[in-house]
Amino acid sequence: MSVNGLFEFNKEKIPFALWLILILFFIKCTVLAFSITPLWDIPDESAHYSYIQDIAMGNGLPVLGETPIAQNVMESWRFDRNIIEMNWIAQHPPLYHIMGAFLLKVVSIFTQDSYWLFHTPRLLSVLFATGTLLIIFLVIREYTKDDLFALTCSALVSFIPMYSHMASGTNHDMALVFFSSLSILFLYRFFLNRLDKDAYLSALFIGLAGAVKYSAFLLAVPILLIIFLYLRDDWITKIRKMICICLIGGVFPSLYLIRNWLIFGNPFIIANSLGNTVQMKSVGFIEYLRINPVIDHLFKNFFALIGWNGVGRGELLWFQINGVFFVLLCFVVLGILSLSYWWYLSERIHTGRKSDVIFMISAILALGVIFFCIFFDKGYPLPQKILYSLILAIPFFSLVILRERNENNKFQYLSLAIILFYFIGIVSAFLIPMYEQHGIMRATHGRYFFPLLPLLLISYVYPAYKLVRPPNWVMLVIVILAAIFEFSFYVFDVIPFYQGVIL
Amino acid sequence: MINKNIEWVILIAGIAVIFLIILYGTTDSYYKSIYANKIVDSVPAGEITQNFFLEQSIYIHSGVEHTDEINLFLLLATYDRYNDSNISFSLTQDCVTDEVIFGTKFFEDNSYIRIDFNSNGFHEGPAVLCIKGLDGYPGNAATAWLTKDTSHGHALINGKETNRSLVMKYGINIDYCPHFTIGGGKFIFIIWCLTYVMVIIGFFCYYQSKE
Repeated sequence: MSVNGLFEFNKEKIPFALWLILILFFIKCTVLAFSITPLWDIPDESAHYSYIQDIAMGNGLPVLGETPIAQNVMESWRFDRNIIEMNWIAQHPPLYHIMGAFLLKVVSIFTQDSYWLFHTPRLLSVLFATGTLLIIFLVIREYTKDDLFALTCSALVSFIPMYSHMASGTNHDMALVFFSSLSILFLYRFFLNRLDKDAYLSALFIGLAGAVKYSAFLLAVPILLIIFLYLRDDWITKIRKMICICLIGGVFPSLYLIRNWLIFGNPFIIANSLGNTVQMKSVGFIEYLRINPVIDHLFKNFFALIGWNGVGRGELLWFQINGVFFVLLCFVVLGILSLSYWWYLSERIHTGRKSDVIFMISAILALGVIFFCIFFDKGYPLPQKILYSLILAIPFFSLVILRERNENNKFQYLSLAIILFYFIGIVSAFLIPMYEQHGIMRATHGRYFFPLLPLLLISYVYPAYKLVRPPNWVMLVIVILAAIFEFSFYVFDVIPFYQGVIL
Repeated sequence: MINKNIEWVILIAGIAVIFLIILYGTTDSYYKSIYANKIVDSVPAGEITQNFFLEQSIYIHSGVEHTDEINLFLLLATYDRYNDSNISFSLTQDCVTDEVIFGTKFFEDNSYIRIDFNSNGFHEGPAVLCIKGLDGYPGNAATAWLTKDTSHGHALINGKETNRSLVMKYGINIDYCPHFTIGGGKFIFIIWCLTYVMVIIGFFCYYQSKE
């Protein structure tokens, strides 16, 4: 298959403005990576780098609980090469780190200067993040048939401070986002055309995402289920094809699972399995959301959680989006989600079916229940409470999939179903066990939802756009404001933080 | 479609804001932290009522001669209630003293307050911070947290040694962010700024072609 056929890299089809956005984003993040973001100020960067270095130096893959962070990294990170700390990132599969090792190996041929050795693997994240912007454009354009909206979406994502932050450091999340977005692109093409090759490609890319980080499993399950449901064959052929698709998807991640099984006797071992536990009384899903500011932190951290161990000189030191930036963000996102919520409701009204009216009432009740059960007694201002309630209530519309007849809208509802599954999965399988183990809310990183970016744009933002159909100049204003938002956040908050000063 | 002139106004306004941000961000004054002590086994100092006084030795670091203010952040508490009294904070070194008075009604529970002392006449070396209650009474006074980390000085309450220190952060005001890039390279910072301007211009050109 030609590259043109696979990605439609046709110069006539990709607007010049997108190329410009991609090139400028690449330059912006390269400058961040090499000149602005301090070393080790990206989440777990020291451990990721050590993992990469182990492979590049021919030491093989690090073993969880046995392989320490490399001494030269400890010296730069904690200012003492004799401190021994096990590499907790060894819990993750190695695809990203193998690619990083290749880059590091190439650089080490030309220089042994630690500045270049430590910084160059960051380029990999810059590349993956830039590629993801292209994929996001393709997904949104193919879904909406609207170049301007797709371009605006790519530009907006490129101006999310956390996205730029993650793109400028040695961390596997951007590779995960890239492969997940590719999988979503081919899932949509499969949904649209029902061509088997798209199903295989979607499975292949989600498999590659799984070979970067196992959290892709939470995306793989609904994707494979959708593929299974929409394969156009008799049951026997369907099952036969599905086995092949699962094999293609599972081959890369399973290599590491087998390794873990052989070494530890547990294929799903993670760093937390080795740590001390508090073992609190177990909490339910709703209770966990109610007693902890989970959505608040996920929302803030999705847009900006800046810092890690760099400025703190070995100690964790970070800050979330706050102050005027947070207030602005809240109102903008509240506006978008309110419109989207209204679009979902109005779609039910337009069908005129009795069952849809009942569903509409249920949807409103669900919003109310979420508001009163989870956020009512929180100390947030009212708009913030409504915003968080909407974030949780919108996926409730995924139930409409059972009755929706419009194929394009159907994919939107499928997107909501995937988001809902992923959210429940992250909270139940990861956040709650962490809470029960450590006794405090931990790891509420908004970036965990970056792999869903194309789906979030389709199901949380596009309905608002469809409802309002703003004139083109509004999109221009939105992009300019987004650029100013990120730029001012960096100039007034992020860079002074890196320099150890406060404006 | 809107008037072509308005489109240009939007573009120029957007770029102008970027340049204003660069100008403001690179020339304004910043707070630079010099040290902060750790919160270890902290206890409240007691209600800062009338006649209460606390003396804390602190060290003024070099660079103070080049700044207008000495910034001190102290961790205070309100006992989770509304208090309406006044507290005097004074900094003394040799014969130089500067005093700042705060009303407690604006304090938030378990929060740092920022005290800006005029740095005129102060120099590098030891100094004494004194906290005095002016008109507080039990049930209507705030308190300060004390920590076991005494690496930056000890606190005396009403003249008695506590073997503890105020929970504080010490810093100075500087006229500009030291560097906007790690190496201080201005050229690379300008390139980074221009990427934002270029995206705006690129999107504008695309928008015009669509129109």
